Amino acid sequence: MESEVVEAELVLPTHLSFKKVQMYEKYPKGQSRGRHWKHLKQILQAENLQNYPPDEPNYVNIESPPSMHPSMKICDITGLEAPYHDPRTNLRYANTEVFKQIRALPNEYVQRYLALRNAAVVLK
Amino acid sequence: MPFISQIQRQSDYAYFPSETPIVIDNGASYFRIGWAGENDPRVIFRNIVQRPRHKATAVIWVALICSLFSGHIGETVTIVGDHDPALLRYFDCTRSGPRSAFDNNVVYQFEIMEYILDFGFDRLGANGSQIDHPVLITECVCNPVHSRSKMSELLFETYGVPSVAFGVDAAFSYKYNQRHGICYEDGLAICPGFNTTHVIPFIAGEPVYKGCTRTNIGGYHVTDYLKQLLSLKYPHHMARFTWEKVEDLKMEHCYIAPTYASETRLFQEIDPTFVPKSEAEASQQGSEVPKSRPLTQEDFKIVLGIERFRCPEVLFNPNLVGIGQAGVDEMAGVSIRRLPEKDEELEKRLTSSILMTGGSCLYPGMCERLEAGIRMIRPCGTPIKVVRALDPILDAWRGASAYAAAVQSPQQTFTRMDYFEKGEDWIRGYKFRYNL
Repeated sequence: MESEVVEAELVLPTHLSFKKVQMYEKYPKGQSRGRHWKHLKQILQAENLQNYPPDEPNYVNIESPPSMHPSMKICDITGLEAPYHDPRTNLRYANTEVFKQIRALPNEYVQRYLALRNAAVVLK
Repeated sequence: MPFISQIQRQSDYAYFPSETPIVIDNGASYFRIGWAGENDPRVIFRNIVQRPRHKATAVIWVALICSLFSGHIGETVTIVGDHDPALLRYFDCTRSGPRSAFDNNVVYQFEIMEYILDFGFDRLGANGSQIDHPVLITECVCNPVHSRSKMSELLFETYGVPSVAFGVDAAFSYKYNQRHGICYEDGLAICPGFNTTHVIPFIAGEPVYKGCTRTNIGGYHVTDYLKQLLSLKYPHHMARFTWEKVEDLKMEHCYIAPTYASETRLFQEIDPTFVPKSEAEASQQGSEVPKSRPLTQEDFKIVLGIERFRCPEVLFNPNLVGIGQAGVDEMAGVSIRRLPEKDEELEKRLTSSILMTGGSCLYPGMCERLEAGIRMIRPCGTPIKVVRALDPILDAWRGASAYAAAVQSPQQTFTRMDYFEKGEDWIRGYKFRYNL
């Protein structure tokens, strides 16, 4: 190992004295280790929350409801208030200069602006 | 000001007796570990792990030959936390980026969690044959049983910890501030974090989880929004906008406007052709080859105008990034509505002691905006007082440390025997009492 890397102690040592089972014993090389961890969705499904009374707080029912305020429409490009909406690209714009810019944008940028708002069409 | 991690190896592990608990604040952004009873955590680092391959450079052929005997070059190593990029050039980081053990705010990748705990304990100076101290670790609100039991299993089986306790970080922060008189026994804790924002009501000093609410928006989303906006605005700089640099920009320049509409009007009046005008921020010098004309100094400047307050606005209006949930001010109303008993006096007491804690509440102007937002949804004339915690980032750890140092805290921990005998249902019902 290069000396400056060793001095900075960048790398985690493979053997640590205070552990009862070391990492290389637990996860031997060559075995796929990443695939058996459950993601959050699977963890929540496995919890069987329908068996418990619904007014007891658990991870799922403390989520907040959708917002009751009217949604704030801002221009996708400038961030100013945007009362207008372009039917061809589905972007919101504030005034005519922004509209000229929108019509000149290549499609890739249009999709990325829409993806910011989670409004892009995803073809699966 | 950018946050600096401290990872100096501590040398006084042996001076602490076996009863002294180790306190861990396991956050999605930073991992803090230290001893109970102290004021500051000893070791702080970003809660990410990288597993690059150690690569050989063309110059060091001698090292390559030596490696035939030592076997270092080419193997996958583990690097925990964020480090000086200059040292990382010896490693091939292109295969896999930094990975976090968290999914939303729940720990699910326990292999990564194990690397992080290894590093944390190692830098704390642990050197016995097992960790002989009780451990107090923080978790998210209403943590799923699977995550909690896997974490206890990791601590008991691999590290040999004698007893473990789990608590919610926002609650520790609230109790710490209550002890210092910043907030009172009945109040609301608003905790914008890294991935999520929680609002938890406290009645008689204990959190009431029935009234708790969580929105999946946090500092990560704000930084990500800023990063996307800047890369769309300056496409030729796109490669230079790393997540860490954007986070530094966010911490330095972003603020929350009292009302979004009035700020945008400000930008429109200054220059009627709407070019956003604000301080120009000189970005890092690039060594890019000029494409068609020589690059002037203008090309290396980026202008942060409306983005300064457009990005933190996401915390109040998650609809801006397509997340269809209530923003921070509305969550306070939802939380009060969800309480089981309707009591006007209680609600007045709750709104007159609102504490803001968590890393994402450090934006200038957040207190006033929150107060205005909550005043809009509560009945006319209710007393509203919003205060910021003494140190929103470290208070959770400090509260946990003060709690662990108290004499009665062993009653809240559970040991390995408890874990094996009582099984999963008991773990699900494990409730931490914050009043001592």
